Parts: sequence; structure tokens; C-alpha cells
Amino acid sequence: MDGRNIIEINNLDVNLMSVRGIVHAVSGVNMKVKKGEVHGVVGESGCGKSVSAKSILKLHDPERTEYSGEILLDTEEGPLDILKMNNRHLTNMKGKYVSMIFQDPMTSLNPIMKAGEQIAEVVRIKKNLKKKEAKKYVLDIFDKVGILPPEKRYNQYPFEMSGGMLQRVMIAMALSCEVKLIIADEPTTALDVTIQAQILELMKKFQKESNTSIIFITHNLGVVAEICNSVSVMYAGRVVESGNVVDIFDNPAHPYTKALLESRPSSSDTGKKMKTIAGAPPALYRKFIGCPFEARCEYAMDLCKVKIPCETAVKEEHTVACHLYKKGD
Amino acid sequence: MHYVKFIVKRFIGMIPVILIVSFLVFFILRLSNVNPVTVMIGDRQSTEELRQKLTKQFNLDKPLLTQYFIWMKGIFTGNLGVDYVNGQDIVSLVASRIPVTLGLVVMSSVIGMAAAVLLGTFAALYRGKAADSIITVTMLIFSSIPSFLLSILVIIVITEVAPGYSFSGGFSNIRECFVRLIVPSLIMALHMIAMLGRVTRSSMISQLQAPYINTANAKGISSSNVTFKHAFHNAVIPVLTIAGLMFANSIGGTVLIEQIFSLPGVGGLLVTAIQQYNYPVVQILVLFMLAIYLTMSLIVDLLYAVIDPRVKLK
Repeated sequence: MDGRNIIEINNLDVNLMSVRGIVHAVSGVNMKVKKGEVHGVVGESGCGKSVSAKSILKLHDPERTEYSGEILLDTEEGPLDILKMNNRHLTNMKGKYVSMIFQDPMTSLNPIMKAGEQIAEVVRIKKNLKKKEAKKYVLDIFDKVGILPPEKRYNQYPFEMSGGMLQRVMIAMALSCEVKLIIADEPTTALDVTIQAQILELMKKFQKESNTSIIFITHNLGVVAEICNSVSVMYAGRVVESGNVVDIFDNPAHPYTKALLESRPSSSDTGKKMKTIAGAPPALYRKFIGCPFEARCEYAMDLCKVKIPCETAVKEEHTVACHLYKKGD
Repeated sequence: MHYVKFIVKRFIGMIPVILIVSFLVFFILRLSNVNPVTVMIGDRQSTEELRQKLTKQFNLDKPLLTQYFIWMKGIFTGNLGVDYVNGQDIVSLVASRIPVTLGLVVMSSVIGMAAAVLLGTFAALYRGKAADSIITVTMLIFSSIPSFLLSILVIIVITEVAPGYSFSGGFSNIRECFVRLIVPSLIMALHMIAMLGRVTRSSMISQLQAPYINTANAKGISSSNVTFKHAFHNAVIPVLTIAGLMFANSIGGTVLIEQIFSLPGVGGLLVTAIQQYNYPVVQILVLFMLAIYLTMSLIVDLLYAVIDPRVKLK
């Protein structure tokens, strides 16, 4: 494992058992996140973004999920494979190295537990603090992330707060134990636009201060451009293109990335019909023989139908999985 | 402090309920065309003299409304007079019956609720496993067997297995009373377990799938902490609602169970009193059951406020 990376996901497969059969939600995902960088993960709904992110904490129902591959995490004891950790080790790791911010703060907090207590509970365990110290610690964080007045908010329940405030509580929770990596699963999707901007600003500020890495999952390409250093584009459970944010936005290589970027409405398009990608992402019940994007791709060739493209480097730290790019091109 | 205020308020609120119910019970019973004097005379020789004496003694010559007020006054002063059939003092008659019924209701409810919550939670935690299926199916079976049928089956089995166990006759000390009550209590509890256990299971399952459980898991706290501090606390709220209703039902249920097991409780007394047109006894027993019901719903409301911060006592 490269010492500059906080996490390396290698060839991750996640199969979920559902009522309708096995869903190959994630197939052969590779992702590397450097220390102190914000890594965006974009793609349509149902393309495995959340599933891969949740796999980092093994949050899927253990009875119905099959993982393979490795998720290497850089810890004090050297790189460790999260997928191979036992339960105790895993519980220990969560909140110490990795924490998560969820999409909908209204339902992601326990409705009948005081907001402050929900964080203090973790702080007591992870930082070994006494009850009073933990409370003081939480009040300090509340103050920092703008949950004001902290003392009053500490004793409030989630139903007494607004969505934006609750997302701040979630962020406070994620920051509370000074983790190395935060996974933010669409943290702004459920909020209205002005609050979105505030929350993004807040995350950016703390990311800079603490040099934490963030995996930022979103549909919103504007948000990616604003906050991320590097990006992985996902489609049908695989990473189709990944690279730093400038390369992806300025020189997109994969036809899917190109199509996604072209689908953004811009002010010069006023009055024109909005560009879209025809069709919908495929269901993931079967394994693919060819490229999963083939049916919707304007550059599709015969080869695409029969062979899954491998990852090829188009440039240093910019890889793409498409038959248009051959090794050494 | 606001608890005290709430309790006082609720007690004041109970007064009109009790008054309305007492009014209805009193006058609905008087709609019957059975003359109380006939009931009192029973098998005795009916003479005009006796009729007049009884009419006077029980104030039956006064207007109905006056009779109602005399009864109400009796309730507040603790002097309810004697019953129509046996001429026994009503207060001591009812008081002697209360411990058995209360014992039955409390014992069955405590056993039933505790076991239901334990089994329901256990089944939810092992959802889809053999243990869960066994518990769920057993609960389904027991919730569909009427308790009188179950009682009869149990009596048949016990008389075969333990012929020494007595189902009738009196008891003189607490131990004997407990031994007599435990079988009917368990039967009542079984029904409660079957219903409440399934509610607990489904409530617990839905809470375990809630998004905040994902958050709790991602925080890195122990899984027992996630299950009990987070999921269980949320899951118990709807269980409490049903438990309150079931407790109220169990008061009615004692009527049947006491008959089957010939227990000298309030339920049995009520049935006999209705059959004999023993109006004053029926009246006071209905009010007694109402009082238990109201107290219980007050306790449930208080527990609600303790468990769920979203509930405000007003």
C-alpha cells in the first residue's frame, strides 16, 4: 500500500442478497484516497456509490452480503484489511479512523435521544472521557460547527431542530473523534440550497483545518467541482473513470463521464432542450459479459458487447475503463 | 413538578367520567322491568307488609333521581347499604373479592408483559432463524385459541398430571391463594404474551432497520448498545400502547377466568349479581372496574412521557 494513501480499495465486489435475487451491486471497484484529499464519487442512482461507501464500514446486513477483494486502511499498526477484521476490531476502528455522514439527517439520528448525548456516547468510548468531560468536549465541538447556543442544543431532541442544524450535528459527530477519513454519503441532498452551501462551507473548512480525507458521494457535479480534489465516476457497480478533478472536468475520457458533464444545464443553453443520457442504468442482477454502458454509449463498438474493458491509464493518476483507450495509447 | 400537576389534573378530569358512567349504569339498570322488591323477597312469603317495609328500607318509594343521589352519597361516605339478595354489607362483600381479582390481573399482566417483551425482542434479534419461527408460530397458535378453551384443556391436563391440585374451595393463607391464582394467571398471561410478543417483535424489527441504527453502527459503539440503548428504547413505545389496552381487556377477562376456575373474585361476583338482578352490587362493580381502567390509562400516559420525549404532559 502506498504510504500517501489513507485508504485503498482493491478489486472490491459486493453482492447483496435481495428478494428478487443476488444483486451484483459493486464489481471490481478500485479506489485510492490520499491523505488530506477530498475524493468525490459521482454517478446515477443505483450505480453502487453508497454500497461501496457503506462497505468501508461493513454496514450492510452481514447475513445478506458477500464481500470480496480488499479495503486497506492505513492505521497506526500499518495497513489493515477492513474486510478481514473481526467484529471487535471493526467496532474499534469505526469512529477512530473512519466515520460517516448520512444523507438524511432527519432520520439518521435517534429520535428519542438528546442530540448532545448521541455524540457524547461515542466520545466517552473513543476518547475515554468521563461523563462531564465528554459533555464539555461535545459543547466545544457544537460551538465550532455552529450549533448555537451549544448548552441549549445539547439537551434538544432531533424533532426540536431543523434539517440544517441536524446535519451540523451529524458533522459534529463525524468530527468528534478526529478520524482520518470521513465518508459523506450525499450529505447535502436532503437540504435546501442555501443550507447546502453552508454545510459544504463547513465541511471544507474543517477538512482544511484537520487535514482529514473525505470520500464525498454526490449526484451534484457542481459540488464536486467546488469541494473535491479527485473524482471517481461510477457506473453499474464499477468505477469507469477516475482522476483528479481538473482532468475529469476538462478532459473527460469515458463516454459516460462526457455524457454526464454534457447533461449539466448551463446558462448558455437557455431555451434549448436539455441534454440527457438516453435509457437507464442496467439492473445488476446478472454479471456483465460486455461493457455495461454499451447500450447507452454513442461510441459503442462490436468489442464492447463481448468484453468488459479494463482500467487503462490515459495519464498519470487518470484511469479509464473503456475500449476506446488501449494500453500505451 | 409538572408530573404532580399532570396527575392532579387527570384526577380532576376523571370525576365527570365517573359521574357520567355512574349515572348511565344506575338508570340503565332501572330500565329493567324486574321489580327490586321481588328480588329481595325471593323465595319468602310475599306479604303486603313485607313489601312496604322493604320499599321504605331501600328508599324505593322516592323518585329515581333521589335514589341516585342517595347512592352517590353512599359512595362518598363509604356506606352502600346491603345487597338485594342476601342482605350482606356491600362494601365488605366487594372488598373481600378485590384481592383475588387484583392479584389475578397484576400477576398475569406482569408475567405476560415481561415474557412478551423478552420473547418478542429475542425473536426479532434472531429474525428468520429457527428460534424466531418457533416463537412466532407458537404465539400465533396461542393467540388464536380462546382462553376459556385453553383453561378447560389445562384443567383436564392438570387433573391428570397433578390430581392434588385443587380448583375449588376456599384458601386461608397467601401461599394457598398464590397456588390457586398461578394457573389462571398463566393462562391469561399466555394470551397476552401471544399478542404483545408479536407486536414487540415487529416493532423491534422495524426499529432495527431504521436509518438511525445505521448511524449508531457507523459510530463504532458495541452492538449490544445499538440494540438495547437505541433500537429497544424506540421499539418499546408502541408496545406500551398495546400493553395498556391489553391490561384493560384483562380486567374483563377475569370475569370468564374466575368463573372457570371458581375463584371468589370480582368477576364472578359480577356475573352472579347480574343473574340475580342484584342492582347495587352490579353498580358498584362497574364503577370499580372503571376506576381500575382509568388509573391504568393514567399510568400508561405517565410512562409514555417518561419513555418518549416527544410526548409532552399537558
